[in-house]
Amino acid sequence: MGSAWIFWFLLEKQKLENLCHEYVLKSQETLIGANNQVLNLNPRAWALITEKNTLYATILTAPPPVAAAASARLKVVIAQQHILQRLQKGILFTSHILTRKQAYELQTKMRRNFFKIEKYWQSRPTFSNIEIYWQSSQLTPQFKEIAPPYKRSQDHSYRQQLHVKWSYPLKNILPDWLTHLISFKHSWDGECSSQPVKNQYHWMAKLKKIGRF
Amino acid sequence: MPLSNKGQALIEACTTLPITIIILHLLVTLMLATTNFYLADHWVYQSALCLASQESKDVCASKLQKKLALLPLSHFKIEKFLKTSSQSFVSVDFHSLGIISHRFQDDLRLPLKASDFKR
Repeated sequence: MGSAWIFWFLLEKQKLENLCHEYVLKSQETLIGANNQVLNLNPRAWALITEKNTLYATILTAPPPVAAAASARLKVVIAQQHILQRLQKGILFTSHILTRKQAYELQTKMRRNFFKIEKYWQSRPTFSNIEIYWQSSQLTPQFKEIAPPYKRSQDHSYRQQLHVKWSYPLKNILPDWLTHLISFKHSWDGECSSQPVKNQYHWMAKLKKIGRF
Repeated sequence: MPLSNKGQALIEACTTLPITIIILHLLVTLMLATTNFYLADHWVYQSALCLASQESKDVCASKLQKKLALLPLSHFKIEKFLKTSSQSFVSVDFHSLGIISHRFQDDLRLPLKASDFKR
């Protein structure tokens, strides 16, 4: 009986941890992908900024016909910057929505798991505490511009951590005869997290905490 | 002279008691060995995951050792505990109650991806 319970518990624990690992890695991979896409646009952002600055200087110093041509070109460059800005923000926003959706999915699946467990043990529905700390992309603009080049901050790995914690009262999933004998105040706690880590050349998602071990 | 049944129960108890004790002993041993097996299997996998995450090799190895030492009437030997850039590998020889003798091996390919955990 006890052996069967331990086996069952280990299976459930593993299921929940796998779910957590899958989602923290999936979201981290999404964020890293978006970050790479935005950073790949940096050369374009720099080119537009440089051209804009040159055009401003030309307008101020060059004779009127050249200044007029420069002014016309400036409008085009600014329009291109607005397009680039939309692209950058679009990528970041899409990754934000995707990761939020994944966080919601994770929470729903975890709750469903706990609900199944409660149903199995015919215990009263209990508040399973699931805390999800989800981050958006932690890229920051290098300076204020219409379409600025972006960068990863010094503590990027730390700032873009995704973290999940859960806690569930153990007495709900123990056999009745045991809970009558001993009062269980312990809870089944777990956590997992992921963060971006720089490999030799590129960034990748890595598990940071793997739960209780 | 009528035969007396006195002592019959005692004689029966005396003969069945050793068998009952043996069966109970076997059951408890089997249960304990199975529990030890499942727990050891789980902890070896967890240690491979620990290695794959960012914790140091020593931390993971000592955690595994502490956990396995908790299992009653069993002994173990950590055969391999290594981490390279592409692999996290743990191999443990495990013996429990003279019934179970098994080598647990967990080999995880790194870096771990979300799809590795998909059920």
